[in-house]
Parts: sequence; C-alpha cells; structure tokens
Amino acid sequence: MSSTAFKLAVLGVAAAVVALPWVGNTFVITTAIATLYLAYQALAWNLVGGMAGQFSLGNTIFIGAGAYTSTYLFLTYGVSPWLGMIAGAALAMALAYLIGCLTFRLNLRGLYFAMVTLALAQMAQVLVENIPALGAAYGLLIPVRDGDIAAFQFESRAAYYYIILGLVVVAAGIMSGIQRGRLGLMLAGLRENEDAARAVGVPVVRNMQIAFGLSALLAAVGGTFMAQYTLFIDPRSTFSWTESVYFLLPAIVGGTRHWSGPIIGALLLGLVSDTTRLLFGDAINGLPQIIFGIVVIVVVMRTRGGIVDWAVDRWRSRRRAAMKPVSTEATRAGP
Amino acid sequence: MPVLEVVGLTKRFGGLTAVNEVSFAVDEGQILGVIGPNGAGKSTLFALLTGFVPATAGNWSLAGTPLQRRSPEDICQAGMVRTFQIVQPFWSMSVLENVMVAAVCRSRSRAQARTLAEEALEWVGLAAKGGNAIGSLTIADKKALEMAKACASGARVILLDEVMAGLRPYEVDAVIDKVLSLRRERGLTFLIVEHLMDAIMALSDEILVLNFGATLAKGSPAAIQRDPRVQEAYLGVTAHA
Repeated sequence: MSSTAFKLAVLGVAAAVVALPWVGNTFVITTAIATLYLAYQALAWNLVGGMAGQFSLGNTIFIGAGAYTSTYLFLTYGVSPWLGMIAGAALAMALAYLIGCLTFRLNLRGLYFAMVTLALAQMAQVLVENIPALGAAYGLLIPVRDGDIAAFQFESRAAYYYIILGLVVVAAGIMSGIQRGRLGLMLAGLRENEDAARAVGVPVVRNMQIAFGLSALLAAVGGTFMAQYTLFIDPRSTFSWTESVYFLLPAIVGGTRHWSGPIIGALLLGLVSDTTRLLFGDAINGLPQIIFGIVVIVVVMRTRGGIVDWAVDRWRSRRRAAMKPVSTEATRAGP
Repeated sequence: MPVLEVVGLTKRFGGLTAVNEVSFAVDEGQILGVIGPNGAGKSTLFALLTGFVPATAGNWSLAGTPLQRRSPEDICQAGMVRTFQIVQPFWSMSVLENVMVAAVCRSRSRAQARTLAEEALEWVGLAAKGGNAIGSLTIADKKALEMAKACASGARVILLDEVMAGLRPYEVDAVIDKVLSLRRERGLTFLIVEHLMDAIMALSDEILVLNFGATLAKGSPAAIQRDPRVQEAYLGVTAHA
C-alpha cells in the first residue's frame, strides 16, 4: 500500500469513527461503547501485562477502586463523579503502589505476580461484599439524572461514546509515548532479560511500579466511566476474575508491543462475540462462547505475539529482504 | 588510592564456602586478572561484587561508597558493571538497541541514549553492525556487544567474565587491544576472569589466584607464574626444586 493510500484509509477510518453516533442506531452505539471500553481496559492492562511483562490478574481491583470511590462519594456526599474519578484514580495508584511493594520488592514476579494479584482481586470482592456502606453484595444504584453533566450523566449515548473514544485515544497515546521514550526502552530490556538489564543499571522495582501505577490509573478512570454509563455497580461483576481475563485477551490476541494491538484485538473479539450471539445465541446454548474460544486459540496459535506484532514482524522482514542488495549497515551506522 | 576495596568477602551456600574471606584492592586504571581452577569461586566473586548474589559476610566499596546489600542496578549506577560468561543479549532488539538499554539510565532522552550507545559501539569496533539482529552476530561480536553494554552503562569499573573464551587467537588479540585502549583512553578499571593464561598474563597488572574460594596468591604476572602454590593448584603436583 502506498503511503498516500494508507493516509487516506486512516482518515476514512477516523471519519467513520467520529461520525458513528450520527449514523448508527442504539444497538450499534451500545456495541461500539462496549468494544471501546474493552479496548481501553486492554490498553490499561497492557502497560503492566504487556510492556512490563507482569501478568496482572488483578486490574479489576483498580477498576473497582475507580467505580466504588466515585459512586460512594456521589451517593453519600453528593461529590461530582468527575472529582470522584480523580479520587478513585488516586486510590487505585496508591493500591498499585502497595501491591507493587508486596510483589516487585519481594521478587514475586511473573507467575507469582499473576497469582498474588488474582488472590487480591478475589479478596477485594469478598471485602466489598461485606461492607454495607458500599452496598455489600447487592451493589450500588446511581439515581438517574439525565443531562446533569456535573453528575456525569448525559441525555444521549453519543456523549458516552465520545468520552470512551477520547479515553482510548489518551491510553493509546500514553502507551505510544512510553514505547518511544526512555521508560519503554527500560521495560523492554527488563522484559527480555531481567538480569542483563539490571546488570547495566536498569532499576527493576521502580520501572515496574511506574508501569503498574499508570495501568491502575487508567483502569480506575475506566471504572468510573463504566459505573456512570450503567448507573449500577456490584462486587461480582466488578471484581470477578473472568473480567480480568476478559480485559487482557484483546492485548494477547491483538498484540502487546504496538498501541494498535489491544484495539485491533478488542475490535475482533467484540465483533466475534456480538455476531455469534446474534446468530446462534438463541439457537444453541453455549455456541457463541465456544466460537469465541476457538477464535482466541486460532489467532494465538497463528500469530504468537498477536495480530499486530505478527504483521509488523512480517512487514519488517519483507522490507529487510527487499533492501538486502543495498547494504543497510553502512547507511544506518554512518561513518 | 584504590577505586575498589574488598575486605573479607565470604559466601557460603549451605556447607560449601564458595568465596572465603577474600580481600583485595584495585587502583583506578588498573587491570586485575582473577584466575583459579574450575570451581575456585571466580564467577561467584563477580556475582557477589555486582549484587547478584547476597554476601554472607564482608564489605566492599567503590570510591568510598559501600556496596554491600545493594542491588545490581544500584551497583552499576555507583560505577561497577559486569558482563556475563554466557552472553546475555536482548534477543529481539538490534545491536544498537541492546546498547541503548545500557545507556538509557544515565540519559535524559532516548536520543542521548542513542548517541552514547553509538559511541560505545565505536569503542568496541561494532559501529558498522548497529542495525544488525543479534542472531546474525558471531561469538566474538556477541562478546564485544557485552563489552559495549558495559561501557555504555557509564560504569568506571568493568568486570569481564571470560570474554575471550571460545574466540580464535586473532580475535583474542583484538579483545586484548580493546581492553588496553579502553584503559588508556577512557581510564577504565578492569577485573578480568579468564582461562586463557597467555591473554591474562599479557593484560593484567596484577593477578589474584583463587583456590577453593580462598586467596591462594596475589602478585605480578611474573611472580604468579613462578609461584609453586599456583603450579600445584593448577597441575596437582608440588614443584620440588
């Protein structure tokens, strides 16, 4: 594809994404919001799970911190959820710091990190289920105040669509910025060979804490958004480990190294999940889930690093092969 | 004035004493060779000094800064770095990116890390291969990459763990030249573990001989070669007059 054609295609997609609320019906917009939210949480997870290589199964703790903080403050003290969102994000970052102290400092990385975060998420669920002020197991209902912008409520779904779209853009921008900066280089070194990276001075605990903290921050903001969009939160659907897995799948399927990976993964999984449910949902029980599972397995088997990483690698090796006759080394390294 | 001072360094793994009360000092710009039979504790000594293995007892300091109980990354930033006997590159990155990881901690930006990395590649003679994949490198190139990473980290004391093992004779000569020129032009200090006796005798100002974790002898290359205790440790016979 020529670069002009590529730019036109990107412009076309961007225009379609922006125009969607005007052309789509309620079903389309609802599906789009769910898919964007999936992409957003996958991007948040990817900061710690993909870029830092620490397989968090506890990002629901931060989603819950965001959702419960803003909702509790609004219901109890009438604090605007916009402010509650900031408070929730701060709480999530503090929790990520504490969990990081428990895990990174004590060398509980890799598989152990996954287990510890999973256990903590389960504990968070049980804890909230037993706190009456947080609605216990019944959850919290946010009273409808359509159009009250200070209460983070809007008359049209389009507003929620644009907010989550903006959040996806911000999350992708953060990931891309990290990837191009110093932090990205340090995380890549730690991910590939921790001892070799530490030997040349790359601090392991601090970099993991930063990645984890940013992941928690984004997850919590998403949690507040979701609470305001559905106007209901409960411990089971917030903290459940199936949610954790659901939010990391797009990154695994789409790719962890480029910002477009989790987005492509979310689009594919969202599409598969919704179309199969529409087509077979009523006919055969469980078939949509089985097809979803097969798609995940096939994509992971075929591409290993995820769709985008796989495509980038292929493109690079093809370009390298094409450039072989001319010495690439001399032009790159200079005199 | 010594840049590195080691006092009573000891490491016990259960009943085995891998490093036993080792003390020595290295001056700035000096090259100290560390030799000894297999299992003498040379690699453990390097792992201890750079914080990869916690010491059982002993102190060591770099330019007056105590280093015990510090992490590898702290010790590198304090100015001492190691290379690995089995090369440890970041496989999916290019040669230049590998060295950039080493340079990034003391850089304000990625661009500066790139400049420092290119400089380090120049020093070890890998400048022309910056864009190469790791898989395309020869053994000698991979060992040179380890040295480039060590140099790019900004450390002033570099611990080379068998960077000449497995190289052809002319490649060994090239490494010797590189180490000597880095010392001469950059003022770097080296500790070198090596099994190639000719190379280590040619490079070292002083040699530390370890045997069963303890210091067996320490002195100039010429004195070490004459030392009957060293001959016994290596050959298993006593050199009677």
